[in-house]
Amino acid sequence: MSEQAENREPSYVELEKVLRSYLSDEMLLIPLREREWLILGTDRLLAEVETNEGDMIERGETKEALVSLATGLHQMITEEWGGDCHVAVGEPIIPTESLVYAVATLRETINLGRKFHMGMQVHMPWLVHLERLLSGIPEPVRSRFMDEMSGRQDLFTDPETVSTLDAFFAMDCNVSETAKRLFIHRNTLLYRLDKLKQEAGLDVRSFNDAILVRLLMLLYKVTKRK
Amino acid sequence: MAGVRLEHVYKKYPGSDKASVTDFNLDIADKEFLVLVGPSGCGKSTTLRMIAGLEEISEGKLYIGDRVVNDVAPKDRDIAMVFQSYALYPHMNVYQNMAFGLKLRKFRKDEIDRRVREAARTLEIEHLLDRKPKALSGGQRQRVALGRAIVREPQVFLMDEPLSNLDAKLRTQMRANISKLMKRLETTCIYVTHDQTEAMTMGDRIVVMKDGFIQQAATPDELYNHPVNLFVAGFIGAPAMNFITGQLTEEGGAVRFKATGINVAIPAGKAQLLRDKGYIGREIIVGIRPEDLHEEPVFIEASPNSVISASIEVSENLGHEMFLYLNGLGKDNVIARVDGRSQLQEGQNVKLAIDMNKIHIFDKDTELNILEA
Repeated sequence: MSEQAENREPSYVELEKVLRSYLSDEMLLIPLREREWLILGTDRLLAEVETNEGDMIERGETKEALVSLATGLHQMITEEWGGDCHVAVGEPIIPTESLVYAVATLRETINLGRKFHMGMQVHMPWLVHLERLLSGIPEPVRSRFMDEMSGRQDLFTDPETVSTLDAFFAMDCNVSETAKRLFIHRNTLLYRLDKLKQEAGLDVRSFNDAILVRLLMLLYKVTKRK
Repeated sequence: MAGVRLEHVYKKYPGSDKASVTDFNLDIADKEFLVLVGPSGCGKSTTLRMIAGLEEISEGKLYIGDRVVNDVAPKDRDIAMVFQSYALYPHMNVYQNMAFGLKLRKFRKDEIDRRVREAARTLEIEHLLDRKPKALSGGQRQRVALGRAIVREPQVFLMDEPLSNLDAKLRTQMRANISKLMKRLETTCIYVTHDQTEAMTMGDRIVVMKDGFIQQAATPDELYNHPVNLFVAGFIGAPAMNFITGQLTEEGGAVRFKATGINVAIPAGKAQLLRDKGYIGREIIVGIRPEDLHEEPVFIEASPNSVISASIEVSENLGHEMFLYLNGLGKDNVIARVDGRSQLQEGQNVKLAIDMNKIHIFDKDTELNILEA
């Protein structure tokens, strides 16, 4: 977890008390760097997410439970503590075997999440594969790709275009679902997508162009927000 | 209970040359239900987050009650927030979810119990108190999130798009529930949404924002009938107001509005105002609400100076009403909302009369409503 408030830094004791109330007494709060903490919780928490106490959690449901725990933690910090923070959550580990690797992964996840997904505050390592890959590409190669792909990079500074495309990709390129999510008429969405096609020469309704636009959007966030 | 006042509030993010919120001035009365509405990126959530204390105020003053709270920590502002995600604490049951904040604030057990049970009764979730969030539906989860805020008995509720994760049917139901609840609690509420229907149906007053600026702050009725500019006029109302660009001319003492397929007389009162302001001979934009286009013969007969003809490109019959997408009027499609029992069909030519008393006229350059300025 990393705190992002500009002036305040919570004391270890205060934070530990809140987290113990929230998670359980069986947790460990480890300060890593300034405003950065590692929270180790017991795996019993995953079972507690289940509807009934006795229910065993299936392996496939672990990620879902972890996401809800992390989202709940973020919500609790925001609502009850009154601060803004970023939370990354990892899959269960045996600390003596892989703590260092887990910390590195979580830190990287938060960094990637903050870089590529500005509005999001809860990040999962299993959802930033593409971002990790793109982050490793050398700057000149990225810039060349950007230059070759789009003469109109300013398209990605238009909040309406960005929010439209974000929603379009989040809804798996489904026009009707995207329109519903954006509370706009289907025709308005088609008009926006056609406009993008005219101006950037990329039709996001075609699979190949959709991939390129997705990459352009992710790379644009890195290259322009320096 | 308390009102909220924002005085010349600005939000500027480091490294950005443009303010996200500019010179925001607003007085929100005690017990008022105020809605901030606008498109994505207009600054409404940033404004709410500044009130919550989650964003620092770059410039200006924020009052909750009589107290300036710019430097007061969020947890000490006596506010309660409900967010879009309405994430519950997944490992706690509903009772524990609602009690958690009070427990953290060291309230006595019997007081916590009283507040949780009272809120649960208000929200009709008493039977769910033992359940874990996973066993709840979307609407039930949303009510628990509201409950978590209610038990705090705050001075101000802040809600950031709390209904946007719900399906359309549930959203309509929860909309009414929240309105009723806020009336009963008699607490100031600031509610952010990008859905103008939500804004119109819930707010005592609505603030329309665009690009970080307040465009208009008014009651729903005032916004709908007297929008101050083209943006507000187009944003409020569904289907949106029709805009037709054309020219004002004066013929035989009457001021007329002419555009492709349209040649109608402007009513005397409005005409005089346009004359006085020097708009004769100039291009203007006329705004017509879809329901101000009438196909009833009685209305057409009574309005010989505002009759137009158009072809129906598409018709959408919703049963109680019908939307006609008309061709041949101005540059874009014009939408008319007519009676669902009309026998009008696609491809047909239709005669309609404009209710000229209800039109809006905008300056083409400033986009301000000439009749309201």
